[in-house]
Amino acid sequence: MKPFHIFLIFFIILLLLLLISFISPPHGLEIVKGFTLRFPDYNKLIEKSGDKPFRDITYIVEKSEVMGSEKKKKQEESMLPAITEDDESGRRDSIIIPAPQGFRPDSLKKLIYPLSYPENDSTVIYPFFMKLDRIQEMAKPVRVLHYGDSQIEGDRVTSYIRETLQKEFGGYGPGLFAPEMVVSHTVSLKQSVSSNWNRFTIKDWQNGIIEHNRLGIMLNFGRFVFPDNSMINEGSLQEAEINFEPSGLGYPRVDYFDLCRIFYGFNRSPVVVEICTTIETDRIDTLPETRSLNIHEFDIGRRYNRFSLKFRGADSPDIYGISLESKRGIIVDNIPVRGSSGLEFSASDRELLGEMLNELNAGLIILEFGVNVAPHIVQDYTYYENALYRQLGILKALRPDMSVLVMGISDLSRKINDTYESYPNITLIRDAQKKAAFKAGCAFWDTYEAMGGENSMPSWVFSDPPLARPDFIHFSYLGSKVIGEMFCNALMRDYNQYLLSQKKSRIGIMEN
Amino acid sequence: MINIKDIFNYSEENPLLFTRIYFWIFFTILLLLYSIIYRRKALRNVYLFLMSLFFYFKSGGYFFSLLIISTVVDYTVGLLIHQSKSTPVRKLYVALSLLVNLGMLAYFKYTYFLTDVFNQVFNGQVETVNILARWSNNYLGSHFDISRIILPVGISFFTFQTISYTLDVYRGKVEPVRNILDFGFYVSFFPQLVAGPIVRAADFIPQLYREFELSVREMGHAFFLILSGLVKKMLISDYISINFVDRVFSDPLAYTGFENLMGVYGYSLQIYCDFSGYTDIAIGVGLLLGFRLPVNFNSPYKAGNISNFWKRWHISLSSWLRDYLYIPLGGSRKGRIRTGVNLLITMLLGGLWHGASLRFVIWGGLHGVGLVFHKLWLRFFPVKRKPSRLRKFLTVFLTFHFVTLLWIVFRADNLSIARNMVEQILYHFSPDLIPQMIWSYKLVFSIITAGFIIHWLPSSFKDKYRGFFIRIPLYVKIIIFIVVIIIIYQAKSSVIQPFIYFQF
Repeated sequence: MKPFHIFLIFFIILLLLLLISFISPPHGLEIVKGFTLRFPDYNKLIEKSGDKPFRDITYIVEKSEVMGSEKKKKQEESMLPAITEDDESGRRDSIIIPAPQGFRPDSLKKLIYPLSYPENDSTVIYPFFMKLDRIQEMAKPVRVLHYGDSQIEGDRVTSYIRETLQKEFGGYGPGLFAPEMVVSHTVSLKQSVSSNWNRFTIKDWQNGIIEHNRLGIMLNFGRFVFPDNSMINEGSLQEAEINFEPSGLGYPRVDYFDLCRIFYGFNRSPVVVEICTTIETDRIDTLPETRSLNIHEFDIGRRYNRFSLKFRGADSPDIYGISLESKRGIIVDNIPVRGSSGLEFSASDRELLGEMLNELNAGLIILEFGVNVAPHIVQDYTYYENALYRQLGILKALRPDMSVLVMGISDLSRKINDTYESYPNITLIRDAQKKAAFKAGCAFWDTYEAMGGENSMPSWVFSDPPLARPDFIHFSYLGSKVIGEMFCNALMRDYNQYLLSQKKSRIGIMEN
Repeated sequence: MINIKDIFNYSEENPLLFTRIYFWIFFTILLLLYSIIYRRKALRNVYLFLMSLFFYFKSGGYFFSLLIISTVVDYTVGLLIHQSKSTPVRKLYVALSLLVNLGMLAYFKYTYFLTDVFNQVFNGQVETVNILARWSNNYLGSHFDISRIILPVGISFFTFQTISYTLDVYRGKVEPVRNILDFGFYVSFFPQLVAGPIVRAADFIPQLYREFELSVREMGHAFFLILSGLVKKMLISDYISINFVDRVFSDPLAYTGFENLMGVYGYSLQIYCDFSGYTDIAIGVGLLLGFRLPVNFNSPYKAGNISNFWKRWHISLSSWLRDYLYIPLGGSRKGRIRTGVNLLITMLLGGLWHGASLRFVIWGGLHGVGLVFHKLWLRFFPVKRKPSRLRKFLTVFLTFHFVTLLWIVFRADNLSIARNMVEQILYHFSPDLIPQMIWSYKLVFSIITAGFIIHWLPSSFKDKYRGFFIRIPLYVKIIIFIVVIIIIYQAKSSVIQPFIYFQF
């Protein structure tokens, strides 16, 4: 063989491939239903991969405090000569992509994407701000309940919001968690449970596995005895255990708490509960029989390394949640509902929901959903707007002095041939969420635009270090902190404006 | 739109990788000119040297200057060693070569690692600044980023290659190359430049002076290697990594223990297919140009013990470590304890060669412990007869799992992720969800299973189908090539595996 023969072979192969790409249908050839044979596109040959339409998120990376001020300092130092050169010669080798519309000049110091309100009326969030304002006088901590889908699983996003608010308004402890968590190792704590725990959700009620929808504030409850209507066998005592330890990954404030509160109900026979911190048994109490919501409180008041709750009884109560919290300040709960679009409140028992909201002194509910709506592509999302509006209405009716805030859908990508692009329906879903929020008198935060808008997700995934996971849906822990940072900066800015407006009105009253 | 200038410019986003069509266009054009000059050896070598520099420039930008530095230094050192009669002087020249090559490697690859170690040990606040970039900015007017040190492509390979040349000249195993362009060609030969195999001077340099020779059979073999390499890299490795493995390793806590275990198995296959696929293509491309590169992988997961694994995995690296590190340390000649220590040192440094992080050192160290353990085992339980089928199966099973579990430390971004994966596998396996998970990930899991089945097929069977491919007429080969490329394109352009929930 001679090199020319090899050349000819490769030349023929390349030529045939070019020919195939010319004659093949641009959207492929459907071989059988559901399988389309795709062909290389010759246009891609003359396209530079540097022309990828991914959104530039440099401004996020550079402004984010989370991303590290040290890194920023180094970058600034190294960029100085280049900037001078640019200014002098007017030459640029890159295009500066303008920041999204919501990126306001007042955000120059901090990374902020602002909150929006129905008819720009920010007073919809004032009930929460009023509670924050009076937090030192309050006997109970103020609660922020952060509901979301898998985007917030593992205490992502919430942990940053919690840290920021607790730093500002006091309080500590990780807040509520379910007796059996889907993701049992979060950035704030590690949970291990005995194998007899069962977790019940709205799906179990819909499928007839449980006979009631009293799910409680976390939209699921746990039991260590499977629910049935048979007689309780007093002779056979069941034991169950829940163990916690700090994860070592989160902020130090989550390693402290004063109170361990157990929210339970539907307890058909007394259950003994022990709380153990190390080897010794610290306290033993009994959860009495009850049909309604009961709260059992252990006053602990210490930093913990590892502690256990041990239950012993003939039957299990429905345990709606366990909270590790401080006696004052602000508590922020992470409530992930996997696979949800945020529409479970209407299907769940409202009386119990309302009772728990009041017990917890809920000041703000944040709903962060939407990525589970995206894979179902339709032209019109009015159905989702109406369904979400219904949920918001229910929540507001259950506790009228509580504010509700909707965090909109984040960007998520799908792969078309060999490039990633945003789902085509994201803005439709975002608009549906925004409309529902405004109609219900709730605040709205546009996560999608805050991330950078269309095709920003690949930039988050390919960022170094990555800000999103390679499934092109979920934020990485670091990315979730950046989102939390942008959100908290916006919330705190509006809180400061509220304080300013209060001060002005007080001065006005005094002058009059 | 791409313009002519872009073709000749360095672009970080457009390296000339074997997995991109641009490489094959480059290779076809290269072949056209090659077919004119291939008979004139000197011109052929110069031509391939220049094309290799261009290839490296497209992949690594101005770092091709490092290739030139390494070439000039080791070329000169090789001649000086050969001319010198004094052993201390010859040793001094060897030291100079090691200083330059390992110095480059240390600076570009290990500065961050060494700074971190220093800061942790001495509680220091030392920061890394790219002094070479600063020097270049100050004196050459460049605008390099001084805040970070970028790792030049292939530096780990070409520095080891030039070190092997200098040491072989010192040991008298190879005559020094008289023409610097020939030597430059040996250092920079593009098929193996960025990902190996690490070619020994003794194997390659004699080929510089041979006529081009390629039989029809060899051509068929080269095509087979290129095709199987593309399938391994693009159909198996890239697909399972994008659609499954990367996700699990990015956040193991979001996945069940079963998914984590499958992620680890998946990675075991991915890294093999990635590495061996790339070197298969390199060997195939080299062969088409008339140069024989050494075999680098020999079905490593068929190994029945860890020593055998290292004789099958990245053979050019493991034999390099044996000849230029383990044996100079004393090898197995200085007693059992020293043998064990030498093995551990070799594997710790071998681990560090894979990446500048404590994880790689731990990974290498654990492999070292495995090798020492195997040596001890053989001392107490020497193998006297041919192992039974069951024993063979068990040893392969155990070796595969030992190697695969250690990949966790190798692949995980940090030790905390590695620990989380192990915990998920041990405590959150969720066996009740296995049928549902297998069904949902059917394509990814089928590819993983098929990959392992092909890997574990008997060598005689593999030889048969390779032989069949080599024998079929050329036009059929071309058709197979086209069909395989279209199949690979299906994987490359497929929609990504959706995120699936198994627990609500």
